[in-house]
Amino acid sequence: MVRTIAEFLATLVIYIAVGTAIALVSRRFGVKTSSEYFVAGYRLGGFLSSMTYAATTYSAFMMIGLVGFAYATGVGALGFELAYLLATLALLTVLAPRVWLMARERGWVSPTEMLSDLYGTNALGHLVAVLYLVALIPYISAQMIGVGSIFEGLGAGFGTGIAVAAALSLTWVVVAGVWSVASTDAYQGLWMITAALTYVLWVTLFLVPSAGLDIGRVAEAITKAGVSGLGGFWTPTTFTAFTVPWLFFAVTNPQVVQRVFMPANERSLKRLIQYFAIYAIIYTLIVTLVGLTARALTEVGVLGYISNRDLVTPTLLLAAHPALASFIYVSIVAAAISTSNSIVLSVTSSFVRDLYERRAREVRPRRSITLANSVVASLVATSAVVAFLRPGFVVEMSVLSSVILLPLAPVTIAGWVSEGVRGVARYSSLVAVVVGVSTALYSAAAYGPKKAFITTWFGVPISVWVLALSTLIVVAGLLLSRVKPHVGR
Amino acid sequence: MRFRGRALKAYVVASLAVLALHYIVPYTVLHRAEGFTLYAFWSILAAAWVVATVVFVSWGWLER
Repeated sequence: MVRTIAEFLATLVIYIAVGTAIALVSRRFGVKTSSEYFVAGYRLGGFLSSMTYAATTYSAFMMIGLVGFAYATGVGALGFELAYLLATLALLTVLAPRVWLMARERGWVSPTEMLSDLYGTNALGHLVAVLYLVALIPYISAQMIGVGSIFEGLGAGFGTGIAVAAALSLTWVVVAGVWSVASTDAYQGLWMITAALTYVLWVTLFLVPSAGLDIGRVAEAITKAGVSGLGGFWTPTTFTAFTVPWLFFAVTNPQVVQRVFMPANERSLKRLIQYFAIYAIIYTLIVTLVGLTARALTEVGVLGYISNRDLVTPTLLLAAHPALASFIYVSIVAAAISTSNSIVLSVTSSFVRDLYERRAREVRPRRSITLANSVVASLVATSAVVAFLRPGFVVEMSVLSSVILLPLAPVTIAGWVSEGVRGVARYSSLVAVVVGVSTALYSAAAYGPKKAFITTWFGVPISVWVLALSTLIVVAGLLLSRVKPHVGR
Repeated sequence: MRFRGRALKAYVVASLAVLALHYIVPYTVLHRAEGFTLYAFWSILAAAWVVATVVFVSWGWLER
């Protein structure tokens, strides 16, 4: 363990040094306005666009949560994660060209500004900005708790981990705004996928053979464990409840919506989708394969049963060389940082653009940047304090964040594909968000955030109710206003 | 940017079909799958969709 701590800290220092150097180099792109600070002045290249999209999307959940989910619940965890990917590729491919063009034509910088513009009412943008705080501060804190837990597990202290996570999230944002975030995301994304590949190669080519197993025995073992099919945990209702919020992640979460604004040209936008698609499927298949293989090792008696599924990766890594374990642990830190600082930046953009720039008589770019850095610092500090206190509901609320943001799916999609929203539709979008979010929060209060995820009303999961209610209200508003849909351009 | 001919309609129909397969086949045909059968089904379906999307984005999107 002592050797692992030393190797982990050495690897962490290298990771931080290289990342900070990359962030500093990214200053040469120059950030003088809020548009450059938040969306790179719409001039991000294809590689950076795709890698920042991937690194922002895939958080510490993958290597800790999803490995454990596959271990505990089986192949269904793969179906859950791939449902997100299939839907995201479809949504991006169909809608991104239109959104990308509208963003530069209308000068969208923040996702809330986009909604206010689409519906012609600032109230919607303000309401959604508050919603982001409620839904995403716990999500950022959960990422920091993940980093803190790694430090704690290795004996380096939970508080130290939180401090490192907060310092990196802050530094890599304020150096050059989204330029430093996207550049370090690309670096972290490469670290994450390389570590994941190394991890699965080590598990399948070293750990499994050293236990006297081959692929056939692993397949037999997962069948015997009852995790090769969809029995037990993954009833159709549970699968639907888990997957529905994630099907719309690409249109409900501001940090990924905003990334569609950024590509420099149409070719860069194409690269965003293409490279992300390849990255995402490789990462997902690797992570779930590791979890299933770990379960097979448990079934044949090589590994004791791991009741806390978040400890599957740490338990496996006890058998790894300290250098390999450190490389993988740092990749989890990277996943947490790349997600948290992107969310911080995106939420900040809502406040700077909607509450300052759209209201100010005269916008001073330097004042906007200073304000942005102050909001970023406040959000990081708040999230770090919440993470340090580690209240149980934070992690649970972070799990529910996708359901809380779900009402934004019909509102956002309808705004994108409608020609000039007017009349009742403007207000129906507000009502849809209020009704959907209230339903999600009521269920969280009534059943607890985790249980709310799988609770059903009349046999239908709450996430489906949230989506259905908000969609009905939005569609009713559009029909009453006689707004016509238009997707192609 | 615009889409080639009826490519957008075809892509939307295909995406709905792929999502339907993703949900229905495991709960009908592969409910009691053994070994890596279900893993392979989902992996191949997703990989095919990734390839289709990469090709569609290259071919179906027309740059101005």
